[in-house]
Amino acid sequence: MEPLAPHEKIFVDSEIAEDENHGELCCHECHGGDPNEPDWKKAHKGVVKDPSYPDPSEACGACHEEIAENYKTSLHVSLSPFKKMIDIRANPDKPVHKKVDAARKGHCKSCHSSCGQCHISRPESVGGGLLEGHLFQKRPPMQQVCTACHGSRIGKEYLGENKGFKPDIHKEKYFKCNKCHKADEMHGDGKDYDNRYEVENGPKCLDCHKAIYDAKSENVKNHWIHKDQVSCNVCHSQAYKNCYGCHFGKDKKGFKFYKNKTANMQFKIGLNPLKSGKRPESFVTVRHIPVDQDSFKFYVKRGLKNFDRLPTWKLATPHNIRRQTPQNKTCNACHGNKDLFLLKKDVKRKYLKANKNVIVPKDLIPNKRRDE
Amino acid sequence: MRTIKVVICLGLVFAVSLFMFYGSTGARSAEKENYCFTCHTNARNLIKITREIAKDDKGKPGGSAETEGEG
Repeated sequence: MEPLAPHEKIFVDSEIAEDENHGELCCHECHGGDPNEPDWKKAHKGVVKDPSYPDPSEACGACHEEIAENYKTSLHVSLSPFKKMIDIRANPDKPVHKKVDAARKGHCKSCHSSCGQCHISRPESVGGGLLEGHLFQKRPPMQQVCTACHGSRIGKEYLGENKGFKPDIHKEKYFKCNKCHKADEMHGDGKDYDNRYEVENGPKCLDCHKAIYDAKSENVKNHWIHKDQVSCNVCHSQAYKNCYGCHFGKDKKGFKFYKNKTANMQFKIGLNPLKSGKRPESFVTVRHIPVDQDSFKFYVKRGLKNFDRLPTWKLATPHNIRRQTPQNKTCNACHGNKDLFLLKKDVKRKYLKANKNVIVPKDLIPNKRRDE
Repeated sequence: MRTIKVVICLGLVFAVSLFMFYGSTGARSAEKENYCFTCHTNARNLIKITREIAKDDKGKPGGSAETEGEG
């Protein structure tokens, strides 16, 4: 994504005056400041850059009441799964936990979004800057908003920017993120979900691909055989990015830093760590997330004392879908192919305990088919 | 005949003024903002101001140089 020049970030398109809804509002009604003051420095006293964060009820909520009501439960705003996951892993000792929580707020929470940081500007975490001169964007532009944050994994996978890998087939059909991720999912529905996969209005492949189970459809037999056994991604994803050993802290000047030791492209099938009625598959693609026992070390020792309570290989839905992939070319491209499965040998020793429920025991790897 | 002409003229004047009023409602509210609107819609002015700010900020680091790797 091209960075914006400083003046481009704050340039307002005069066309906004023609917006029959938002053009009716005076700038200071949302942003504060003094519109009658000719000295720009004085005029900006008390100006609020993003009036939709943390509370949009007065700015956006004055008209979009229902959306603003659920705002706090939007995962893009609350990032509540981060807190929940970190709390599970965190040292329960109160003073230690307090330091972990403060570090989480200072680092992990800084990547939140808001109404404004999707519909009016680029997110602050990627440098901000008005989209289209403050003209309100009903659908946030994919590469300036969505993949600006979800870039290193989802964005590169979807756009085919990882060397040697193709873009997602949906990208080739000109799908933008909002084709699958609808506003209801993004805006929250009042429920505080544990993870994004639980969100009621989240996308499901079958919403569009129901016909795969129809008697006359191509590959119907394969789809029925594997139904509820493996996730769609197991057959249709390419290799995806896995990150290891994220550390963060502050440098000598007090600026926050993030260090991620390793990132590599792998494809691994693991046991489903979030098996449920909604996700009944036994085998799913799993991605290594950057968390490490020492991620919070800069702030506190043994901050993640209960690190092993959650896997570091997490259920993943890589956004690099293809109809044909190396593992679905033939039955035996997958059956009996140990390289595809997350085995004990694939997991770093220090992460073994955490991943005991995700690692695939050798006897669960489907046997090679003789009839092929 | 004269009455009809007067009525048509009045009708036309009314229609034109209604159209003009409707079209400029939005513009009026944003434009009456004076300094916010006039300054932020003027790219040349913004370039001048942001250069001033950049001059004042010269030498100040914008973020940590220690950040590395993908995240």
